[in-house]
Amino acid sequence: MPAESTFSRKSPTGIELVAVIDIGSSSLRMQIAEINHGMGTIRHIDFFSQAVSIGKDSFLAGTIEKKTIEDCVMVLRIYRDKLNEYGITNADRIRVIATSAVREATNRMAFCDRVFIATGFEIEPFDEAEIHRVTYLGIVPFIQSQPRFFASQSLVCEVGGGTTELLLLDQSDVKFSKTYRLGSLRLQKMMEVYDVSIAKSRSMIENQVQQAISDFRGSTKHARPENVIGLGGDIRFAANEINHQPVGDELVELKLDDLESFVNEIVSQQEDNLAAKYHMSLPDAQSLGPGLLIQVMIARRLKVNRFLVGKSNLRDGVIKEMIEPRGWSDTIQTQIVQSAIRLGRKFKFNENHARHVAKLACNLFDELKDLHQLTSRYRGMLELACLLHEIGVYISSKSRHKHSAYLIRNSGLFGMGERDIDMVALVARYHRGAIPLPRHDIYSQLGRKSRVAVSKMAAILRIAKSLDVKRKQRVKSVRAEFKGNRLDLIGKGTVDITMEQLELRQNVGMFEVIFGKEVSLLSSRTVYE
Amino acid sequence: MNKKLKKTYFNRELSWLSFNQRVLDQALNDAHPLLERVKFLAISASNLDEFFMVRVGGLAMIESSNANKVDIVGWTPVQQFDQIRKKVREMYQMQADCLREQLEPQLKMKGIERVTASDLTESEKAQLSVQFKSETLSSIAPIAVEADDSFPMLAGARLCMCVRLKNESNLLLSAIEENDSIEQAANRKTDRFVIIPFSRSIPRFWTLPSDSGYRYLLFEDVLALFLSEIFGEQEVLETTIFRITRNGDVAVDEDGRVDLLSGMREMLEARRTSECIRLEISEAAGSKIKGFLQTAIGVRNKDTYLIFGPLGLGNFFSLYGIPGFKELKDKPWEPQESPDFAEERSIFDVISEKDRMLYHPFQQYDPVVQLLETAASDPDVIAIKQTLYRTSSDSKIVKALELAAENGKHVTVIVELKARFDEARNIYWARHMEEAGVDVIYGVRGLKTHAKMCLVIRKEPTGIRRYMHFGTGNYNESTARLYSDVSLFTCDEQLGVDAVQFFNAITGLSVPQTMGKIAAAPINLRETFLELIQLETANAARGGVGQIIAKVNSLVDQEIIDALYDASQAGVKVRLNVRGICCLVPGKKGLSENIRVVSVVDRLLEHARVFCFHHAGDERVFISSADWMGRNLDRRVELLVPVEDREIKSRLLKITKLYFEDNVAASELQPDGTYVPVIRKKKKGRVRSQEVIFEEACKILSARTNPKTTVFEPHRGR
Repeated sequence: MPAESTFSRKSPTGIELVAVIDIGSSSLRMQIAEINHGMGTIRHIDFFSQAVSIGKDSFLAGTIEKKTIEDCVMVLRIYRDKLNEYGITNADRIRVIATSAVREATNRMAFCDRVFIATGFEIEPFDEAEIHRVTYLGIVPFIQSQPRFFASQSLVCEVGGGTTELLLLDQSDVKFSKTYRLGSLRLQKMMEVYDVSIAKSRSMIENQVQQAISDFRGSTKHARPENVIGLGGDIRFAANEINHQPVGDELVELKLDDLESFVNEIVSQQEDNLAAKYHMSLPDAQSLGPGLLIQVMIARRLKVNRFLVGKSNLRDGVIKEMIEPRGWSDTIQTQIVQSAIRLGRKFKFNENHARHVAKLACNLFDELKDLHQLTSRYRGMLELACLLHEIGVYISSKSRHKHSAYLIRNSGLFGMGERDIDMVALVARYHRGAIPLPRHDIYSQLGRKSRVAVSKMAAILRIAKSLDVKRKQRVKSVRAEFKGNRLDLIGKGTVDITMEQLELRQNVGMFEVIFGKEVSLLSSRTVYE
Repeated sequence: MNKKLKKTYFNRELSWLSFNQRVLDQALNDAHPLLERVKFLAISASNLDEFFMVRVGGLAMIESSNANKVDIVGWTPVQQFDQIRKKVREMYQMQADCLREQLEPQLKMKGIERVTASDLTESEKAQLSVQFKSETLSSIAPIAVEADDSFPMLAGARLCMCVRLKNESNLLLSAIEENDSIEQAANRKTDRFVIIPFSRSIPRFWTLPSDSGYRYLLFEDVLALFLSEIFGEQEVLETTIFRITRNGDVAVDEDGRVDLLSGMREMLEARRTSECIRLEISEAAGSKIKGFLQTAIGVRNKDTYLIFGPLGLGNFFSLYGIPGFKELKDKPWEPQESPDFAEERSIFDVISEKDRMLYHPFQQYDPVVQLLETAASDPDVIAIKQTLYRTSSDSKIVKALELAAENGKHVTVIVELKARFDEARNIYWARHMEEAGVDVIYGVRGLKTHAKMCLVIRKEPTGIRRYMHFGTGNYNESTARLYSDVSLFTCDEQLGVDAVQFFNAITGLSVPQTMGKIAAAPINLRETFLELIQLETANAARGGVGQIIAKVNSLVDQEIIDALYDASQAGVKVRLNVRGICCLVPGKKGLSENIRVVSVVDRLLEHARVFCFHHAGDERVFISSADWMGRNLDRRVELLVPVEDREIKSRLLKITKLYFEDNVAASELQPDGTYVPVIRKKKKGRVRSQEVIFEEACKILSARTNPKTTVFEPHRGR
């Protein structure tokens, strides 16, 4: 009889095994990693990759064929076995993300359901904004370790099977992010359908790249990137081959001319030769050429001479986020807040007021932590909702809260997934007017946990905005004191808080209903006298 | 600069034959104890059997397919055949002479005597008769051969007796049946032939009771003595012993096959019935019986070999195993315990402290088994991944893997069903392991998994830790006592990542990824070797130092040889220790004058593959499962693993260099293809490499267990 594991007897060591499965357009990949929460480090443990071309179905026919679904199920069952081997069974430690190939399929719901029934995996369709966030997270270490490359503007370009993602960075800040339906597998399948020659396909790709670049130029008038930072398997492969050594943890510089001649050589070879020569699967060999051409053409169009290649991928980014599963990292929050402020300026918001309300709301969020029990991820959402709660005024002050919600939902914020954006929009919507009701459209679609969170955040926002009713930022900060069923908020910064107290009375109802506390606002002076 | 010579090579088959000649030379070498010489003779015979089955079989297929494929030298299969036959006939003669003129007379003097029927006393005969009738007769199945087309399907490599009997059937009846005259019937029905295959269950050596010493008969002589028990009154005109060899180079056709296991069984069946490529027959056989067998089996004269003395000398291995006669054998080199593993510590602690190496069988193989046995019941081990190419019949390793699976570990084993001549055994073990819950993978399509790797994944308080064993020899406790190999234990992080990736790739769980430290065939092993060689070439060409030392079993691959020629021409000092086949021509001016090739054939079979490159002073040392042969580099799954620990590297380098100092068991390959024993130079001490390595293993142990006291520890009162 084997003795008891010393591992299980040990107290929690802060070391946790996690897994990310990435359902991409041409393969299903699984990364198993060890997170050391104490040190904040990640160690790669195991990696699996199986070719299943979902993109072939969804990019061409719009739906994923039954056979492809079953192929995925088969692979995911093997992955489930491997996870069991490592003892990774808790759903919190496994993230299964699906990108464009699943997202674009009309039967994506059926696909996700089938996978769930067969394997117990809950697939999260990862939307574009979330991918931008994770990509940026992957770039951050380079910004820190090789700042010389980030003195001016850089364009991060990741070409996947279905899409190409562009992120314009100004030093370390994201200025623009967008995903284009321009992918290596998508192009390759398109060329197959039209049965075009290499030369012809080149001009086809050229044309597609041109459209993307025009859009990019149109959206970023002052963009002058000096580097293109290429990410993705294809470009990393090219860098490995050109430099005769694998891309390590740092960005590797390539001369665009060298890259171009390498790409020309790849494109001129038969795919089965490529597969044999470089020991890759035939599907990978088939999409290699188009994938590389896209990168090169983008760099050429933008007249960028310095091409940098980095080792960073979606899975790694997702794992990084799992280090702080309860919130976004400060770096990401900063980028998201900046993007919110850009949006606010677009709609001419009262920036000082908005920022101050956000500050007070975060202050309240921290003070009331034991009461609301929300994780820091919601603090981030609350901050955004505060910043943007009044942008609806730009349209009309009548029903401005609804306009705000509409604008937030449709403008796109850097790094925010659809569900998160919906919640931010709802918090903004409920900063005034009716309290959440079951008939309210988006609200009713949320799960119970999210609905409760929205109500709690909106209740805090209502108090925060009351504290800056005169829009003069008089109450600088606030402290909470619990006295039985009473909650005293002690405002610092001003003696006369009559206006604020009056306003609070108007807006505190929602808070009192949700938290069951009676709230009073006091001036700090009053308390100490 | 010298004008480059045209690249020349040695023929692979002749090079193999000269390796076997070196083995046979040991049987002729009276410096060895007698029974050791018998063992070498037996090895040279069984080697030759395998050579016929595999290499000659393969050549025969090329020849019959009419593909005019020439070898590295430019010879056609026919040309190669001619050379092979000539050399093999010489070798048979030498084997027979060795036995008859040297070994048997000397053995007799020491009390080991082969007797024949005429030497037996009446009481001995009576005793043998009882034994024959009670134990053997029932397992003898004679097959009467009536007409050419009904010749039985005899298994290859099995001794048989052919008996010619006088035809005593009723000529009148036969004439009526066939509507012939009696004369015609008599002509038609000449002699009758009966074949008696020797069953595997019957021993070849029959011991006679003896007061001292060991007297024995060969079974064929016993059988000849009691033929009347089988044929009764029928008159035996003549008997002879013969043996056929079938083409063993029948490969399983894997394409599109769903069930490899059933494919393997079919292949084994096909091998049993494949074409006969050699008939060995006693030279005493008369022309009638010989002619009959040649026609019936369909063997040409040139593929018929007349043997003086006993056939199947491979069986004489059992003579080596008779009890007693220690003075006729080498004093055994008892495998030494490695001090690294001697302490009572967990093997995981031992490995995690630093990398460890064993050079067995000078050192005990036990830690390899111990790793698996410990892993099987260690509560923190979550998974074991292992390759098995050839394993022993009662393998502790297999048992440990089964136990691990039963204890709930995730055990994945790649069993190479295609390991030649071990297929049947491997099928058996594979099934057995599956029943115990091991996830068995039957090799990789189109490739033989020859890499030797074991990976133990353990969940420790500080996170996942991987313990690896990389070897140059098979996971086979029996051959581990006879083959010299390297074992490397490590838990290096990058090697762990590589090992996991490698395993995922060969089990089809992942596409091959770039590995950080390991090179693997058929992905990048060839390129890696070539790059390493070319780097030495470049360094030497720039005026720096270039140095290559390699120890392999065979050197056949043309691309590697050419790279070595280039290296030599650039001034790289190349020292090769190639036990067996070497197609490279060393020491040829303008081509390879900086290359030296030695071969060590001694008590233990040299099997380790070690590669050392000067690498501009940053010496690189690797161990590998691969030889420098096309099949290893392109058609097998192989590994090349760096040895990075300074201490281990230095020990392995020392061992590898030692072989070139050997002046007892080493021969040096000459530019003309002959091997000349390395002669001890004046003032130079005697160096027998295997002995030195063994002594070193003893020294390591005693140094660690009886350390010289250099620090004095006084006893103090408190």
